[in-house]
Amino acid sequence: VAILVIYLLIVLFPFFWGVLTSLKTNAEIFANRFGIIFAPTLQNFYSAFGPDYNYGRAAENSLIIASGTTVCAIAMASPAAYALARFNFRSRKNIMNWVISLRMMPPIAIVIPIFLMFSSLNLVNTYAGVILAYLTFSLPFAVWLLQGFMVDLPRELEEAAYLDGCSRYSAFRKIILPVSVPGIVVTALFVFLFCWNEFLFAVVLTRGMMNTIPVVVGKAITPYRIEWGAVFVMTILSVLPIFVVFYVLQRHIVRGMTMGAVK
Amino acid sequence: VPGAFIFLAPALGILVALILFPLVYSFWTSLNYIFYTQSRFVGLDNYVELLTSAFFWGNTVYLTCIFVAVCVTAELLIGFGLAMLANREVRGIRLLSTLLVLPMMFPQVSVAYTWRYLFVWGIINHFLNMVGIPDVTWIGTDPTLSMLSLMIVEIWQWTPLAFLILLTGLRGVPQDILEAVKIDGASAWATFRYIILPLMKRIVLVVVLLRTMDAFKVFDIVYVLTAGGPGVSTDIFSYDVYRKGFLAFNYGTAAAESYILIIILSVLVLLFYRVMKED
Repeated sequence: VAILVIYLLIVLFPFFWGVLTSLKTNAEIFANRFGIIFAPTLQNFYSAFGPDYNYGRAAENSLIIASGTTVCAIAMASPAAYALARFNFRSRKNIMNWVISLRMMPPIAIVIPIFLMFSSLNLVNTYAGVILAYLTFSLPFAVWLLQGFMVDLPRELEEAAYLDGCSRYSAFRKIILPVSVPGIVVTALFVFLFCWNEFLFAVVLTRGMMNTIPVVVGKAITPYRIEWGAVFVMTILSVLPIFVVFYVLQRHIVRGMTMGAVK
Repeated sequence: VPGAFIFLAPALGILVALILFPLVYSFWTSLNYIFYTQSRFVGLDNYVELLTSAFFWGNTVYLTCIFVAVCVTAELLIGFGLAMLANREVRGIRLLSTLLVLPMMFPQVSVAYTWRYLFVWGIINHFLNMVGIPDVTWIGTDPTLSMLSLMIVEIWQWTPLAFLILLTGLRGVPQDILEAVKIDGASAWATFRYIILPLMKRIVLVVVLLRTMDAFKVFDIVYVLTAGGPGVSTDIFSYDVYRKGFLAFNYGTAAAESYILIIILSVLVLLFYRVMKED
């Protein structure tokens, strides 16, 4: 247990140090690097929301893009997951294998053609463009995870519905969807988290006022400007919603992160 | 079943439009020489050029393999060790395990900047000085140290995933077996080697494969910490593709290189299927 606690301290130290730095003025970050005692200031907080970074706007962008992707991914993934979990058809296995193989797809391989395509479709620097790009990783993920949840549902549920004269579609809508809500929430939160943290697509597809949080954080450290205080304020603010997501997801992290290979 | 198609259509339609089509487009791009607005069909030249290039094998592939091998091994060993320690019923151990998992939930970019601050702005050196080690320039001048810095960040962020998966696996090892061997007088090492390890084989494989796939794709931390430098000494695969495509506007070569990455990862994903099927 002692070793675990030491490891935990190593894990937590960067957070602690970041929080400390976020409360120092820039002058102090340079002059009093290792000091633990200093007069805390909110100066960095104001500068993060100032014109240089526009953190408020970036957070709004991140929120719109992450929730937009989540809604689209869930809306399309849940019927697909249901079909893959319950229907028997010839290509089922192949489709499932294809979907899971998309988990390995390197974003860098997709980002080049997507950037070229979206440039000609005028989708660069729009919410729709980023959301579409994010669906490339969140949709396969959502299909796969939801499929795992739906396979676990008792078959009697739908059989009863069919006996009552429900069609496949209404059985899905009235029976399966409501009982899948816990699985859907877990999936949605994962998707939201991935989108919230995503960087490569965001840096390639957004400019200026359309930048999401991870891109804006980078603006504080450039050849022309080094403002560590702002970096840490923005990091801390962007991490707060993650704690909420994490709290709900705790028990499902293994399942989500291994695409259901370990439950 | 015709009904199945209606359920699948929206998701598959989007996936075909956003993944399959771009991949085809990218393959076409990789057969062309593209520079700014010029473009000319060159067949497989981009591939031939890459696969016969000493830089590609000796630098990009070599560095990526070293990075992946070191990180995955370290994550597995540390993760396994921690999981063994955490797999017991002690008050507070659940909370402790939960906190250990935090790093992997955070944006890689923020994690990378935080570490850049720790490396460059001296606090790590400050600690090293305290135990009598002189200042180390972590990033920017020494190739080995720059690579080591990247590895430290990657290992710090992703060991929790290995830890968590392995802990889940260990909790699934039946307690009665362990007690039976204990009564038979097996040593701790023998129990680990002959009981726990065989039972954990599949889980360990899942960890290794998942982490290998993801470590191969590492981009964010390279972008933030070293930008491939000093020189090209940390020019790992994804970053090399980015550099060729978005900094040198050499989309053809970049597309060809990204295809090679896809092929490498496809092999890994095939192995992953195998493991899943043993379920």
